[in-house]
Amino acid sequence: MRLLGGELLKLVKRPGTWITLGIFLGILVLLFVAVGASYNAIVKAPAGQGGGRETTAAIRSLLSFPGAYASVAGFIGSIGGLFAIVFGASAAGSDWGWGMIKVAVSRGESRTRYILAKLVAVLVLLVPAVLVGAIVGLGAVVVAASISGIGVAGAGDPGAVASLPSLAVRTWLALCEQAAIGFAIATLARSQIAGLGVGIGIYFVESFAAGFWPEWVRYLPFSVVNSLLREPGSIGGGVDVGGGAAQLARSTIDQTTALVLVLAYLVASAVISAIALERAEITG
Amino acid sequence: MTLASGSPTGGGAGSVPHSPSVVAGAAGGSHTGAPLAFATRGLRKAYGSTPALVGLDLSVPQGIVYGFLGPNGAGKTTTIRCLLGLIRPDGGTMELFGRPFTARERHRLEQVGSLVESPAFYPYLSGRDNLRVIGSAGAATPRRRVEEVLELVGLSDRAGDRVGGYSMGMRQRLGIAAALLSDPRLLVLDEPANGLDPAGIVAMRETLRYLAAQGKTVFVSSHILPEIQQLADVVGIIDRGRLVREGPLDRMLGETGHVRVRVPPEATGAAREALERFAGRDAVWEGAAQTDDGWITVRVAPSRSGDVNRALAASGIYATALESGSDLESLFLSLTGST
Repeated sequence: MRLLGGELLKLVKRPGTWITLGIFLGILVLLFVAVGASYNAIVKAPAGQGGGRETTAAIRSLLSFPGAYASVAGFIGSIGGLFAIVFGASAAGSDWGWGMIKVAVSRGESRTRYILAKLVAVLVLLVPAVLVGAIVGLGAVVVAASISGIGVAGAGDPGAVASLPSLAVRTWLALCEQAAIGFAIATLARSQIAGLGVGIGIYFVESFAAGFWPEWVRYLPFSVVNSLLREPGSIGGGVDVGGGAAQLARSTIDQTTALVLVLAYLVASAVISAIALERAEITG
Repeated sequence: MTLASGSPTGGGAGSVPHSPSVVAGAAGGSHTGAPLAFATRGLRKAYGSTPALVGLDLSVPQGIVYGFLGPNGAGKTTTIRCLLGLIRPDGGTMELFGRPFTARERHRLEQVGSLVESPAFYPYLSGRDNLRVIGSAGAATPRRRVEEVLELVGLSDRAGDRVGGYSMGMRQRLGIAAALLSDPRLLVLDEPANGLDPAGIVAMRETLRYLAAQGKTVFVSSHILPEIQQLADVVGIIDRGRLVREGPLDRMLGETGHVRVRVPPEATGAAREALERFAGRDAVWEGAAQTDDGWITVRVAPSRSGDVNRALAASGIYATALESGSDLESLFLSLTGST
């Protein structure tokens, strides 16, 4: 707990933590408000322009409650995943950059315990990040729904409200997995920049590859997040917005399998980080 | 006492008894005095194909200040990294407080405080928060200990400021505070005087002597030879990854005194020949640490300065200046072939 407390203190007081969260929330708000603002323009556009009925249906699905809960979770899990990679990579990589690894190790601290405490601190801080992201995201949906005239009816749907805790936990797990991957890459590379670059690179390569080999890519770390967060009838949580049912079936897996895979990637990242630090020669 | 002040506020140098020198053997030999805080036997380490340590035998007795000297690239920092578990030696053994020390026993480093190379801190955290974070790893550190070490290094007033705004000297003092956090039995400091002003250096010297008088072992790696000469009880000199000399400083200096003479520049060659006939070719060199031309150094006991002068006079050369003494610099230069 002592070690975890130290790691939390570091992260909470680090400007980069708040900057990352601030940019993420800004993008989240911007996205929903922009979608809401564009709705009326599309509806009023002459036939054949603006995307037509499919687009307006997609926007309605995105902004209408109770489906909007999953939409927000989906955006937090996917776009927020990029920021989780950044957060995880910078938490692990900055210690190498500032030479703080040698300070902890030379005090007799177990390398494994040290790196795991650092990772746990990252995962703990993702809890308030998810909650704040959900509050801000839902606020943005309400604003967007009001702008577009869609309204917020259905927000109090008992079934949807009851499923919110499960949705929040799955969203948190999705961010944890992605943060852990960035964390592991930065630990392996001993560099914050390398962690960021490689982590984000893999994210986009995987998204790109999903267009060619969806039946394989759906098992990869960033794609399983989409399956984990997908709610029946929702749009969020996927990069495959607008895809047909057949394509959706090919590019996603069932939620239980997704959960197992997310946990597996999370644990594997933790193990890789621990092994990398145990074997590292600390010369910097 | 505080590193920020040249005059200690208590327990300063004047009141600190100089620790008794421990009899140390030659390189690879065993000490016969106090038990050892740290020792290496045949320690080897290479970075790729470049050897850094080639069978280092080091014996650091407990309760003394040990000066660890060597030219750049001699293997000083590699030795410290091995001791602190940062890198794995390729061969040889290490002992910590009389027991074999391996990578599996890293927890025993809780008895060791260290400052390796430049001090590392989080620039966005205050000095106090940095110490709290550092104290969260390894040995348990009570909160009051953080305040104690801040007071000790004279940083209490600036403890709430971000380290990013600290001067180099303040960072160095905070690094020493971090090394002292766990109240270690063995303190390992790599160039601790870096960035300190003269008053800070004096105060640091007094602090380290005070710690040694309390029974702690202080292992100081430094390039500042006069600093080590004023501070250390036992000195180890390393060159090309191997220990070339180790022993009590007083005894070493007693064995390796020197006499320096200054002669007119036109007589330098003849004077050198005369002195080589007197003391032997290997015992005479020009310049050394002196910056002026015309200085010749002869490695003989300081008590023989009259004989040196007579040898010159017998050759018709008269010294314009003569000085004698024992200093670590001469010893270091002669042992490491750095002249």
